[in-house]
Amino acid sequence: MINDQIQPLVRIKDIKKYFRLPGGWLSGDARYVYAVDGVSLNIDEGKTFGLVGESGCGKTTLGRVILRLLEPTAGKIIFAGNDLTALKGEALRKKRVEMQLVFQNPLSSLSPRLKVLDIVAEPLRTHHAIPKGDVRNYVIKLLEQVGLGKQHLNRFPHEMSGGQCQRVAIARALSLNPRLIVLDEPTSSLDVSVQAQIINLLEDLRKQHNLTYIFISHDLNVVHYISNRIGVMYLGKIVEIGESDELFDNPLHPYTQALIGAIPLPEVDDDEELTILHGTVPSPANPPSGCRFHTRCPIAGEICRAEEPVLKNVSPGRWVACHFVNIVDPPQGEDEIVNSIQ
Amino acid sequence: MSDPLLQTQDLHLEFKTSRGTLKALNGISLEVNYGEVFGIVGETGCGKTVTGLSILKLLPDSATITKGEILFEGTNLLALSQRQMRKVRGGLIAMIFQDPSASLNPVYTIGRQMIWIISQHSSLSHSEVVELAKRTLEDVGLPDVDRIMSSYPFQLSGGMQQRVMIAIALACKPKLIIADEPTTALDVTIQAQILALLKGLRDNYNISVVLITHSLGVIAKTCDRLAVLYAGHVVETGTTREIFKNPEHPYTRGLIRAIPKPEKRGSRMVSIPGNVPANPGAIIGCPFAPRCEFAMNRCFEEKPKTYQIEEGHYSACFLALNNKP
Repeated sequence: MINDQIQPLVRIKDIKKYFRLPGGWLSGDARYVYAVDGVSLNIDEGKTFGLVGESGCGKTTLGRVILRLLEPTAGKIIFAGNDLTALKGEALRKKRVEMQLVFQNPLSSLSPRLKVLDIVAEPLRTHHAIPKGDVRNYVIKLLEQVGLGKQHLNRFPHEMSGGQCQRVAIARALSLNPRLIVLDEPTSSLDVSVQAQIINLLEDLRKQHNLTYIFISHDLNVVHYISNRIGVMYLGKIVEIGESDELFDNPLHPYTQALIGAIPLPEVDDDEELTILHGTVPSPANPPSGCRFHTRCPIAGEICRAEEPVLKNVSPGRWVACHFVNIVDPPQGEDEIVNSIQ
Repeated sequence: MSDPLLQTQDLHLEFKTSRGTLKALNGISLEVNYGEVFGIVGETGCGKTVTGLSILKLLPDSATITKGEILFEGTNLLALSQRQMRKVRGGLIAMIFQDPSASLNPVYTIGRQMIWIISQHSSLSHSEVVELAKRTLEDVGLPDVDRIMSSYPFQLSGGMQQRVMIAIALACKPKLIIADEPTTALDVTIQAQILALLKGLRDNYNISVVLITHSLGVIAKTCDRLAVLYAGHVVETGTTREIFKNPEHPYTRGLIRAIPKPEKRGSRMVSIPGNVPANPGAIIGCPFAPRCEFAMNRCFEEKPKTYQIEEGHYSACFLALNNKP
C-alpha cells in the first residue's frame, strides 16, 4: 500500500454486457438485451461495496462479469493490478482462486448429492490447494469458522436448514483464501432472525481475513447496514454512487430517492406514506432514450428525453448521473472514474 | 365493534408425512373485524400460510384440521360442504397468492379468465360481465384495459399481474381478501404501489384484508392490527401501533430487533439464536422457550395461556402475566 491509502482491489472500466436475443439472424437485425451498459467503479480492498437496484437492472450480471463467469462485451476489469479481461486458460483459472461467489438460494447452489465434507472440499481438491490427507481437518476448521462443526461433515444439504446451508456455501467460498467474494442476495431466502446471524458472520469473516465483498441485494436495509459504499443501478447503468450513510441520508438521484422512500420501515411513528413511483421498469432490450429513468422520473424535463446524463462527481466520493443535480462542491483530484469513463 | 367478520377458534391442524405427524397449527385463535387490514406475521414454517389456506379449505389431502372452528359472519366454514364452499371462495372470501405468474393460467387471456370467474359468482349477462371486468381492471390502476383483457399473463410485468389478481379478487365483491405474501416477489417500488392498492380496498370498498407476510416493515405500513405467529401458535396480537411501540413477547421483540437499522451500523446485529422447532406439536412448554433469553423452568413445563396486557393487546408469555398491572 502506498501512502497509507487503501488501494482499489477491483477497478471496473466501462463494462458492457449485451445478451443477444434469439432470432434476427436471417434479416440481419439482431436484437440485444443491454444488461450492463457502461459501468465504471472502484472497489477498495477490505471494504464492502453494495450494489442495489430492482430486478433487471443488471446487478447480478455485473457481479458475474467481474468474476468473468460471463464474458464482458466491452470494457476492462482490473483485479489487484491484473487485467482479468486479458487472462486466458490456466492463468485465469489460477486467478479465480482469489475470487469466489455465494448465491442466493443455498439449496440450489449446493449439490444435493454431495455431503458437506465434499462440498467444502471440492475447490481444495480441484486446485490441489492442500495435501489430500489434510483436507478433512481443514474442512472442519472452515466449518468451525462459519459456526458449524464436525457433526455436520456427513450431512446432505436437505438435512440442514436454509441458514446452515448458507453457512456451508460461505465455508466453500472461503476454502481457497479468496480476496474478493461476490455475495449475490446471500440473505434473501432467509428469515429475518437467521439473516441477522449470517450478516454478523459475514462481518466477522471480512475483518478476520481482510476480505472484500461485493454485496448484491434488493433489500436496501441490509445493503445499508453492511456496505461501506453503495452503487445504485437502473437499467444497466449506475445512477448514483456514494458512502453508505451519505447516500441514505441525502439521496441525490430521483431514483435513489424513490427507492429509499419506498422501503417500508418497521416503525409506526411516522405517518409518512411510502413514496410511490409510477409505472414499471422498462425492458432492458429496449431502453428509453436519454436518461433511462425519465419515463418514471417525477422531475424529468425535455433534456432528459434527449440527452443521456453522465456520472458526475458532485462531492468527494459521490457520483450522480442526473441533469438536475448541481455540482455543489466540486472536488479536486478525484477524477479517476471520470477519466476511466472516457 | 360488533361481532368480528372472521374468527378462528383454537384451530389445530396436522400434516401426515412419511416421518410421522407434523402438528403445524396448535391452537390459532384470531379475530378479523369488518373493514380492517389484519396482518399475520411470522417466519418460515410458523403456520401463517396454512392458516390462510384453512380458512378457504384449500388444504392438501395430507392436512387434517383436528380441532377448532372457523366462523365467517357466524357460519362455521369447516361444516360446509365442498359445494357450499365453492360459493364462499371468490364470492365472499377471495385469495391472492405470492407468485401471480403461477396463479394465472398461462394459456388463457386475462379477459377470458376474469370473465369465467365473474360468471361463476354472478348472474350478469355476458356484456355486463365484460363491462365489470374492464371497470375492475381500471379500479386497480391498470392502463389500457382493452389491451390487458386480450393479453396473456406472460405479456404483463409482475406488478401488473398482481394487479390483475387483485382485480379478479375484487370483481366478485367479496367481504374478505386473504393476501398471502402478495408483494414478496415484487420489487420495492412496485411493492409500495401494491400495498397502497390493498389499503385502498379497505378505504374505498370496506373490504377486510388478511395480509400474510414475513416482513414487519410491510405490516407497519399497512395493517391496523396484527398477530405474530411462532411454531403454529399465536404469540402476540394487538394493534400495529401498540405492538411496535410496546412489544411484549420476547419473540416479537427479537423479530423487531433483528431488522437491520441504519443507526445501528457498525455494531453487531441482534439475532435470535437457534432455529425454529422442526415439530412444534411435540413441545410441552412454550414453543419459543429454547431460544428465549428470559426462559424460566416453568416455560419448559407448561404452555403459557394468552394474557391481556392492555385492551386488545394479548401475549402468550408468562412474563406478560407477571408484568400485568
